[in-house]
Amino acid sequence: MEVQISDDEKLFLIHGVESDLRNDGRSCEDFRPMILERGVLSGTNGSCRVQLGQTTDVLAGIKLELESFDTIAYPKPRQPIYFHVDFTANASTQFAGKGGDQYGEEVAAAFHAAYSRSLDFIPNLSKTLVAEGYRWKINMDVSILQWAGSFPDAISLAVIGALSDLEIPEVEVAPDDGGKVSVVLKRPRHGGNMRDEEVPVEMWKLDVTKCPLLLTVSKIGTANLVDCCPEEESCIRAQLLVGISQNPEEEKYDVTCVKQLGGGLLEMESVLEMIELAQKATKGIYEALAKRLKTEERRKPGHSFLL
Amino acid sequence: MPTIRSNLSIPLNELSRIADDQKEVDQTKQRDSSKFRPLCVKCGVFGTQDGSGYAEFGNTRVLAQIFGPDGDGKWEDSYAKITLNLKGVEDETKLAEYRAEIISCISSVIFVQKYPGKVIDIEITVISDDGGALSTALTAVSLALAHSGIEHVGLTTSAHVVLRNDEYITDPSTSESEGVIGGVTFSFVPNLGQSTGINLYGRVPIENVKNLLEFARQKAISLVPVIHKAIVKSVDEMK
Repeated sequence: MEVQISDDEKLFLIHGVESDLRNDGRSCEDFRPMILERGVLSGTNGSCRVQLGQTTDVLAGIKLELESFDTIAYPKPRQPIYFHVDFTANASTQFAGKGGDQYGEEVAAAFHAAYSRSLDFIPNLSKTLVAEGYRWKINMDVSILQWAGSFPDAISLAVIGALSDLEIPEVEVAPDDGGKVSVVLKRPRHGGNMRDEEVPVEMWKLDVTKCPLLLTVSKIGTANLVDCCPEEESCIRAQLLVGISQNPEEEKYDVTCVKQLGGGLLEMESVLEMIELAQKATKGIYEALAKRLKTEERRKPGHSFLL
Repeated sequence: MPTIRSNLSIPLNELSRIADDQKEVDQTKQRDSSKFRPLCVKCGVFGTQDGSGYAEFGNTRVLAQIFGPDGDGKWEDSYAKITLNLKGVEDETKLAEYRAEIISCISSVIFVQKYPGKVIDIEITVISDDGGALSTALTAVSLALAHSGIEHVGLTTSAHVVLRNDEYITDPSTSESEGVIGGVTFSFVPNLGQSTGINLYGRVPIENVKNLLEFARQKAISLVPVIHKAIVKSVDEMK
């Protein structure tokens, strides 16, 4: 989103954040109000919509795909989550046509980097490998519907929301001709004479408690900020994208990705301070997110958030 | 049909000789984990044209060229536009990752306000990738930038280091970086002491991040004299 603010307004804003007071009344470590709702798209296997400060709006949807692959070319288990980020022209006019493609690829690449060890921090993700040569591929498609700052933060929340909403069918694997296997959906029977299609398929869910959050930490003046609004983004000197995964039982943190993006120079001390701030912010968001995921009421299937 | 002679002038005896079949050999056994692979840097590769650089770390070789600043008839803003064409990286995700990182690094060092309405076109070719392509590319671009005469804040050096168990390894090749906990590509401007690019990946415990970054910075500093030498040499050649 383009914002035009004068030099004096910028100076006012910079002096404000340096004394820990932002224009909307937040302190440097505060986030805007967040809205997270799951099950918003009926055509997906898992979906989530996140709104940050009523203006950044992100929609994530997961499509599952049973993929067969060559076991000789890929002997080791690979990370099955694939990201695709799409900026709609509604978010900003600069994304009209193919304008957002490159940027979207870059953001998706950052998420790939942050989730490159997802097999480690999602304990049951290895279950997506259903048989030798067959696995569930998780296609995560993210659309930026509205953009008013800090969209990577919103995307990372939407990604975790969608992963927690994702239901993966249980399958039965039976050997087949020619050394291959046949994969059939598992339908538990409890007696009776029901037709096969009427028996619901058994589903399982991912454990998302340790999924990394990708947060932007920005340097404005001498202050470090999280969750910048567009006015603040026009004053940024340098920005770090920090991915942190938390181990809730041991209170341990792992950094899965740090990227300095968008130009700008940073002192070493600043980098460490910014990572520390990201860690602090991650802790608070993890708590809020866990609470929300527990207490959220399920939507009726078939209703989109637009209704 | 007349034969067109290439003006690529890297004297072959300046390239360190590493046979490609050596790739598989575990080099950490022969090499100290705090030392770089055999490297070769060159400022000014194409004789007739300003703005080219070449960097080679072990089997990773990258060529960078800078065209411009030129007007393209369309760009009219009060600062220079920087475009990047990255070749030789097959993986699309890696390509997008490298592109974002390199553009961010370059745009933070060039004085773009000094070239209003101009376009600076950067072309990077990864000739072969055996680990650390990003840091090699950033080194090559820095040399090309020095050769091009475009005003910038200073020389950039970059290093790629990884963390394996409790050991830090400098500039690992693809085979050496298997089974690592994580790594970082760190690039910075030594005369300002500030970083221009950080790309940390893997799963690094937060208490190790500081040491990893500090180690990468020390390694980047140790490259400064080598790069200085390459630039001085190119100036001598020009005379």
